[in-house]
Amino acid sequence: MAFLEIRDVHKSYGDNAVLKGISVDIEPHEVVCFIGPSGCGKSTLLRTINALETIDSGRILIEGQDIWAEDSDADELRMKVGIVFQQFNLFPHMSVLDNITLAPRKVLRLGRAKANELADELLHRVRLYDKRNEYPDRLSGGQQQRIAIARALAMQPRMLLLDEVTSALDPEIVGEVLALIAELASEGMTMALATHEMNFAREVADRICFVHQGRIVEQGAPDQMLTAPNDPRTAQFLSRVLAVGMHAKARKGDPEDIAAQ
Amino acid sequence: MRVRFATGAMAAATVLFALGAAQAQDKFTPVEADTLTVATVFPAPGVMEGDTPETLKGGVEWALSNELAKELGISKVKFVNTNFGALISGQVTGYDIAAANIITLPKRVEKNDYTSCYYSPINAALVRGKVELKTLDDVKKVNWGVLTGSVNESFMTQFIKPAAEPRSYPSPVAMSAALQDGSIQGEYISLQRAAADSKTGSLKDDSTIVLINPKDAQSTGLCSAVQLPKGSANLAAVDAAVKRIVAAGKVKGWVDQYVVPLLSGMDPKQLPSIEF
Amino acid sequence: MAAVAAIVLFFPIGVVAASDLAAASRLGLDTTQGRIRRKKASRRLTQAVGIGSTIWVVGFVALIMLANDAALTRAFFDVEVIGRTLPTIAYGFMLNVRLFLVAEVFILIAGVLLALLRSLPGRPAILLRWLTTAYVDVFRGLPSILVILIVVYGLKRTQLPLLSGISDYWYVIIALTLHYSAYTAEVIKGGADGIHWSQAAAARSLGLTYFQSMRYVVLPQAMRRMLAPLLNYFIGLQKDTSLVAVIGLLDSVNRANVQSINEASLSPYTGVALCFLVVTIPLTRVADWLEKRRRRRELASG
Repeated sequence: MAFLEIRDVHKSYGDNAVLKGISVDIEPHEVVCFIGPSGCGKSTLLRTINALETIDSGRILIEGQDIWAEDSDADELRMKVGIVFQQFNLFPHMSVLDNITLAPRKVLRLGRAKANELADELLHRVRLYDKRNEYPDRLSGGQQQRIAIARALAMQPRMLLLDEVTSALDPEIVGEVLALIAELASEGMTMALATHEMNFAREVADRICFVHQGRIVEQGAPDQMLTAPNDPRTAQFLSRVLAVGMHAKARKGDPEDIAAQ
Repeated sequence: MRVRFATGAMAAATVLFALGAAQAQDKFTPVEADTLTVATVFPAPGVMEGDTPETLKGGVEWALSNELAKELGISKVKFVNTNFGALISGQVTGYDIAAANIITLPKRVEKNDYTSCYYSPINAALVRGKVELKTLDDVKKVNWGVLTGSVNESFMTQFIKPAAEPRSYPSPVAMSAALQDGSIQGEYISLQRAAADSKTGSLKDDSTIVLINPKDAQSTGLCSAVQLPKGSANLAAVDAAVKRIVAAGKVKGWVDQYVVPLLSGMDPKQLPSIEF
Repeated sequence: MAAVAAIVLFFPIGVVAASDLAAASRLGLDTTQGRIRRKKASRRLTQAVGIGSTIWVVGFVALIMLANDAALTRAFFDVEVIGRTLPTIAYGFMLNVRLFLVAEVFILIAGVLLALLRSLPGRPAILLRWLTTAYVDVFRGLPSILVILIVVYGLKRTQLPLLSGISDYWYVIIALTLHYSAYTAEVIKGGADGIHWSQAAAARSLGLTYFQSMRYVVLPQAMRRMLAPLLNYFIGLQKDTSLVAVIGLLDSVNRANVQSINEASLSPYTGVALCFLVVTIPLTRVADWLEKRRRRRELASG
């Protein structure tokens, strides 16, 4: 059974239809990257997976359970699937340690000592133990994102959703975050990423899905997708993105937007 | 024929002139030409009846003001509602006389001029239920409510001085409601107000009225006098007019006309009375 | 324009500033000299207006205090009267203080509750959202004196067991809470809405419930921004406690009413004013300082 099954999901914001019947399965331990032009719906898709956004029609099943069923507990489900956003993840009014221990203490009811232990483990893992008592405003963007990932991991999720987590970072520090994600992947974490980092996707993903106008147009193995896509739309998008990939490295931003300029 | 007419006319004119001259000895110059501007506080049942300056009709002080205007040879009377505290502090300007149940206390005399008394209101306590009220000591034990700025408030706070500070209400309705609800044990007000209140709501069969008044009000000055701005040149004229009116028994007549009907048959002489 | 004002307000410096301006326009604003002159003139103008306004304001205040044989001063600043009546007025002020301190606690609690209920997500909560919106609309619209009258005299009349037996002091607390929690709820909701959505989203996705995410993540951050408006309402509350006079309670203002009649003077009211200012002015300074501190922190984190 697939870990995550998304069946024909539609979602509109008012008149604006963002997801137009999107379907995809993600198997346990799989790492799937979603690529596509901005506004194609990949971020929205990720947010619907852990019920942060409602859907208009279709079904989303996590381990066989429909997350919008009457008897489903949304908070339960959210603990199974962690999410990290592009920015403003960390709680600025709490120290790094408190950020990580908040949910374990309040939701899992761990005592302070146990929660701190757990947090310290994770901090060591992301190699930021020395920032334990700092406040988020003292950390660099990359450090904040790594802490955000650690915080999500504190709830021991079965799957991680990463919504363009490096897009807002200065190019020099993108690497440290990607390295962490690659580690998680090699440890077998089921992950779904929305990303622009094509090279990274090629290295880490088991599968790449190209999302276009709210639907998955094409999906396949990274090498095949990136060098010889079947669908012309995929090819068009990739050519634009890869061509300006070099420019994107120097300038922060969505390669698609830069190409469009 | 014509000569006799002329003589008669001249004689009449001379008499009128003499009368006018006699009156002109006590000079009265109003603030507004030919208008007596009266600063007062209304509504006050039995004393200044009405809700707006234009619709005032009735009450001892209303009648007094109109009579004073006549005595002083003024044809119009204008009433102005004022803040009592400002009035007795000497802060109100632009009026000729003030009539608002103002008793002449020493501090007020420093700031304003007063005529002799025209009226001693009958003050009464309306208590609820089984409150014992026979002596002044009993009075001091009660939780009282009084109206802000009323003569009753002055009597309570400066002379009677009960153990518990009396609550001061800006609105008589609020005070009456408080009495009914038990927030206060008694209200100290004019007899006509007490008579009316004793018929409302839960006070109907469960209240007592006791008169509480100063001894020798007239000689101690604890009676209502007409106030004039400090140093007013009109004092002599107004004072003389007030004395004339009182001597002619007119004030008693007005009390019978305006206050007694409000007592619904209660005879003040039959009510228990305490003096301080 | 500014030159005219400067000259009128403070002649000496105003004239110098005006001449500098003239010189500047002669030299032309495209020259460095011209611009320097203009800058000088600008500074002098500000000086002139500043000094001049101060002199005029002080002079005006002195004028109204001394006019007519110092009538206003004697009316409101009779030091003897103030001294005599201040003890009882200060004693009455204790009632105001107790009222606004206790009421503020309830107001904050009720305000947070209302704000949370107003934004409760999901279909089942629609009735709750509607109820709280109606509550906020009604109580924001009614003048607080009306609320006090209705609560004190209305509730007592019901003769219902719990509602009609409590003391007047608590009725006033209830009335003030009803009134001010409506305003506070709006401020808190506005503050919470101002926090970036991903904060709440991140909290929810860690498994925290709506109330937990509000309590630990959103509201603490929002509170820092809401301090200024909340403080304004708190000061309004302090002043509104004087409305207890309508039910006869002897707070500082009502005592001043009584004392002013006894003393035949308006000076007792100055005593009341002093009591209130002693509380409100330091409070506003504290609020300013907290606001400055918050700004500094925010800028440092950029």
